[in-house]
Amino acid sequence: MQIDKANSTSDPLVQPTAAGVPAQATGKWISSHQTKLSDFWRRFRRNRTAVIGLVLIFLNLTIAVFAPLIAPYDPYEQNWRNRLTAPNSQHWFGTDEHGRDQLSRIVWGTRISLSIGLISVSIGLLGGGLLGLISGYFGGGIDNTIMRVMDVMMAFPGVLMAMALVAALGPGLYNVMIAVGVWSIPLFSRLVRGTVLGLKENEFISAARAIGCGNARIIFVHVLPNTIAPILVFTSLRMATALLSAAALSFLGLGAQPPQPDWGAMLSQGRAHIHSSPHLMWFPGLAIMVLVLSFNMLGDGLRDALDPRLKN
Amino acid sequence: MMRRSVLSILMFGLLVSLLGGVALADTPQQGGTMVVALRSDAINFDPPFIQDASTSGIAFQIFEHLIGREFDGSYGPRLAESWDISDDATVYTLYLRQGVKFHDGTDFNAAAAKSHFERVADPATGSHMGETYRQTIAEIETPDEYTIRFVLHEPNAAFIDEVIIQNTGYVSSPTAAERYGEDAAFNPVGTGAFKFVSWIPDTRVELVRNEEYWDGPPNIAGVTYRPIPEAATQLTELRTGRLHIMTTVPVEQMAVLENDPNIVMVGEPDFNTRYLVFNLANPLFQDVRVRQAMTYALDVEELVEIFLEGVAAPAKGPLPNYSYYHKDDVYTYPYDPDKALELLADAGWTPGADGLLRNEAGETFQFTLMSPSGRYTKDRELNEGVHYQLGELGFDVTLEVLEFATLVENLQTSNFDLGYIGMMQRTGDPTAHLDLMYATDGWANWGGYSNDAVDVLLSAGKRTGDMDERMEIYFEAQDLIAAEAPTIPIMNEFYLLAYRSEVKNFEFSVSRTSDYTKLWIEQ
Repeated sequence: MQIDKANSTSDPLVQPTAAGVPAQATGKWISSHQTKLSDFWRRFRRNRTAVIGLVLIFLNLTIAVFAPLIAPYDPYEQNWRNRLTAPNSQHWFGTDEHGRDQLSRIVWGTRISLSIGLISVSIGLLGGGLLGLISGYFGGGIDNTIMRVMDVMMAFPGVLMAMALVAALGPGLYNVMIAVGVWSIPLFSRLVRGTVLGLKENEFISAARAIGCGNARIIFVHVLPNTIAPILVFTSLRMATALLSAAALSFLGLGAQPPQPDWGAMLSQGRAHIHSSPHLMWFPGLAIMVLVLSFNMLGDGLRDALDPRLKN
Repeated sequence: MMRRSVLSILMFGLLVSLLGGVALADTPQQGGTMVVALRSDAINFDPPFIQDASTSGIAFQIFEHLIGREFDGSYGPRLAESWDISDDATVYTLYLRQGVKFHDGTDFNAAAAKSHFERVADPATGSHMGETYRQTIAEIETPDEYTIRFVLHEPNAAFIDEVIIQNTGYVSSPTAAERYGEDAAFNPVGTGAFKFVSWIPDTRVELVRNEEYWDGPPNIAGVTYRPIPEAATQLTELRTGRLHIMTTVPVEQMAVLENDPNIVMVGEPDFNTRYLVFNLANPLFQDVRVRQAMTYALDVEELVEIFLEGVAAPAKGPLPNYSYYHKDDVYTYPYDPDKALELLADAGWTPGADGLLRNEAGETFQFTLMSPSGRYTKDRELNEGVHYQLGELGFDVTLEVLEFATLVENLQTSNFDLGYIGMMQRTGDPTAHLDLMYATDGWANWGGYSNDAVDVLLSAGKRTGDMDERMEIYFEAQDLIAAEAPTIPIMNEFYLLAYRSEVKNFEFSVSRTSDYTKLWIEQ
């Protein structure tokens, strides 16, 4: 069960693909767990944008969890005689073309947006992570096969592939989650593979192998924990992209189906009234912007805090 | 003293100018070229080959039909002054207008008309309507110089619509057809109020008024058509005065146009119905009480008023409201949720504790409502309203918004529960609507509706030449269909058009065409 090291390191794909991800930086992390963690927390705390991002995400999570308590009205209740009203004391964000309270719809929409982000990124993370681990650890033919498939998937522009998938599966929220998730798989797999390739050469892996650990144990106990830092950064940035893509797909009518209060769909439906009721576009647009921005801010902060190259 | 006289002079001046203004507004001014936007360029001006809306709209000014359609969908004299239809609707005798000349000087008479219709029917011509003409017309006779008689293979009360009032029915000069041959596509010669001057593809089509027009020459000197595919560009050119008439108004732009004092917007009733169709293969919808209940459950008038903002009228019955044969007091379903619940209870569906309708087995009334998005005006918005109202009553309904092509495919393969779809025709004749949508073998009978009594009436209507008798037949058919509610008619959309306020005396004709002979341009 000797791994052909020469072969795998000469592989042109060894280069870490996600720019700025500290693939080789994680080697020492496990040795001084506690210090590293407090180190990280100290660095993260000092990064004000990252903290703001985290707070905003917590806020959104709270809104999503307590949506029924927070929303002042039923997000589905139509009141045709009270349609397209501007923001006022009864309806803080105004009402939409069916007379539904827009604030309530945005509050409920937080649930949809966050679940799209979480589920699609989880699909990408689990699928891509597993493939990346296998590919990076075993190398050789398995690696070649998996990576060529990933290359083919990456050859498609992302949103285009997601659109093609939704077209094949049919429009709907779940299909959008799947599409965006599948689109993330090659990105995650490359990232994880790159990290694993770097890790594999470390002494503690050789040591683990020397004391007789099996492949599964080495992968899940020794390799996997060390890939978490880059994955964490990438996941957080990926959440932002996933949210934005899902909103785009819903905007095009491929995602959430009416009357679901999805932000992208709300934006699309508000478009027809941009001259008369611009608030129908402001609020969903703002909601998308805040959530996407907060994930980006968090991701940037995580990267800075986890990247030892910035240390000293 | 001085002040008073100044005031009276001012008042007098004002009065004079006001009166002058009124007088001016009443007297049509001569001259001026009207610029009209086209959505796409013309294709072929030879009547046997005219199929598209752009060419058809221009041809309407150059050519004339033997018989025309009036605003209410009835027939009116054009090149034929009167006509007789045999009782069995197999022989149509038309008495033609005398003293009419084609633009090239050829006399218009029965021989010219016969030659035109025979040219369309001739397989060698290759017209898309050739087959229909050959299958319908057995013989064309000319008993005298101004009488033409069409003898049909079988009774057909819709003959005038199917053959005469078609693009291919625009009577063209036989001498011109002979002289130009295939070049007739670029050299249309008719009897209409405007003569063809030139066509520069993708740039402009120019017409000039026919000084010898039998009904008196038009006020304007000519018409220029310009193909402008982008609605936004049309809008800008209209607002800046480079266009007089914009032919297709997107509903989203209505507000912009309404607020422009230089622009007048009009909606023309059109022969269309937008409706919800039940798939009768689904056992849920086989009970007539259920279909009736769902029709009672929808506040169609309110839906159309709220979401269509005045660009459509709520549909009354299966035939478009503006059809000549429409029954005004047709069986209808006013909004009545209580009645709907009663009917549902009779059919075995009662609301449970959760508000959802359930049958004895405890199943919910579960189905999908399919709507296109952007195909018909406000289709998605409207169906979100439908979805809400049906949901309020306790139906477990899912709304699915689909590409139009996908929706049609689903309808064709009977893969739907309740679908929103439209039917549009250039004519209000029942054969073009009821026969297609409600006859057992109608191609647009998506739900699979079949009623022997309706089939008998529809085929009788097609074979009856007498208008009053036909009216009775179709009134009965409309009531029968409406009572069984195989569809929920929602609305008849208007055709929207915008023109500049200096265009006066603008009038719609029927079927998206406008008569330019009476209008004039204020200069």
